[in-house]
Amino acid sequence: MNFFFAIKSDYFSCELTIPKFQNDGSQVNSFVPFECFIKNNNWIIKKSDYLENENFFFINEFNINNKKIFFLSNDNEIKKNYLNLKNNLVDLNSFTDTKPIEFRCNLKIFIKSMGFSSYQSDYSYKMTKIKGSVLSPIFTLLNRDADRNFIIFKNIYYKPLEDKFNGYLIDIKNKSIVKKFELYTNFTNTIEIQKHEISDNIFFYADGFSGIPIYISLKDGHISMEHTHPPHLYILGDDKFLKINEIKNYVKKIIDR
Amino acid sequence: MLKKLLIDKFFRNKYSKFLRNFIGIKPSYYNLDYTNKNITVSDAFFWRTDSNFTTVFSFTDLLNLYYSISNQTIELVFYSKDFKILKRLLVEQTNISNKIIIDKSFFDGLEDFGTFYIFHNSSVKFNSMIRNSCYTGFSYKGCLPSFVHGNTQTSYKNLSTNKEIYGVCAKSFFQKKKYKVQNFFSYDKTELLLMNPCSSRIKIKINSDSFFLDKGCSKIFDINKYKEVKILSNAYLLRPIIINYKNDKYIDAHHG
Repeated sequence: MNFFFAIKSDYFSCELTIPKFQNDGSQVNSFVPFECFIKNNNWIIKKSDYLENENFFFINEFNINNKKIFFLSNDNEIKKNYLNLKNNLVDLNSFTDTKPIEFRCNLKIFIKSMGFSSYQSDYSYKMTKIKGSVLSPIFTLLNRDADRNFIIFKNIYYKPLEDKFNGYLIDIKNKSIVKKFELYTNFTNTIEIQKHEISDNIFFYADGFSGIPIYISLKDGHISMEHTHPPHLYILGDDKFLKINEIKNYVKKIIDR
Repeated sequence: MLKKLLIDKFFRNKYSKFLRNFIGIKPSYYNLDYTNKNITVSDAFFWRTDSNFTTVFSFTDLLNLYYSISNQTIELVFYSKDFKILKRLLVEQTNISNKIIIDKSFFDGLEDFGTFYIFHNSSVKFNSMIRNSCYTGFSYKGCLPSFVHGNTQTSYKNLSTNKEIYGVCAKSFFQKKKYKVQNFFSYDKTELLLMNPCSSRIKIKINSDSFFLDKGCSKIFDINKYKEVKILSNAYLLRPIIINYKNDKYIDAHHG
């Protein structure tokens, strides 16, 4: 099961387009978008406000914020899991677990009458169970020539926690911390990156929880948005987790000094 | 334990995978033997210098980052849309993260499109397999490039033999693979950038339009008349890059 998320920002608007079909064309007619958010340390689940056509649900900018997450389900599944859902996100169905190509809920950010950019907003249930850490290069997708650059870091944790944890910009060559900032669980975090911070040795590091780093650049009304791959995608040999742990331990030593 | 390892090795080798893909039972999607060592795999990336486009290629030096091998070179191999080799670019001094501009002057004035691949060269054995799944930014009329990540392993180079192999994406011989793009297109103009990632010719049907694409060849397909897109082919993974246009000024490049 995948969750979908959006981005609320002062600099652009955002909307979600959720297909009613899998990428092989299969469809389950009873599913509609639900949303959940945390209130008084519990998950609150409700049916989302949406528009629809024959094949898509549309969630507009007025129905999103940085705390809500969305998923496809039906009343029966929600009713059956109601008690459990207060304290845990639950893997309710496998409709959005598609392979080899992952289910795409289209997250579009846009500036009215100007630029726009799309991203595949899927966050797997499996990932919500992971604490761990995230390491991602920032030079790859940010742009020194842009007017503004942002890292969006989305975490979804299965427990209804709004915990604080640390994020960093790390210079891995000079072994130094360039910037330290606070991140929150179950939140779409936004970190503005200054031009001088965009350099080929600088990495984003989230310490304590997993998540998806998304990179956004804005210039003259144009927008670019894309995520970096997780490190395990780059190493196909049996040593992949060994190598990833080595580099994450290297970074951890820099921040623990 | 040894028996399990041998069975696992057998099912992961390229001959078993070819057979599984051929008959469509537990397909592996790629004809790649992941037990091989010192292999540098590349996704296929699109370059565009046509129609006022410039391409920015952004990549990480994986051997340097993960294996601390810095005395190596990186080679980019550029192909035309007909899979004819156009240019080899040897990058001798890389940083951890790197960017290269591909404009028409890069191709001596050529305004066209095609694909390219990235491989490492190293005499140092790293005893593993890496995947260069990098990022291409498409800049339209000189504006901010819209970035999209690589999404399909398509080629590899064996560092022991220096041989490059293209078309490693699997295809089925018995059934048409349906791929319905999960986005709704309501733009002034939308293009699909398609390339054949398999080792031989494939037949592609986009909604009601059919055509063939030979190994490694690429095509830009205009879908202005459609709001939704269904692709039929015998390739297991035929994921287009999609470019949406607004006011002939703003673009959004994303993968399908």
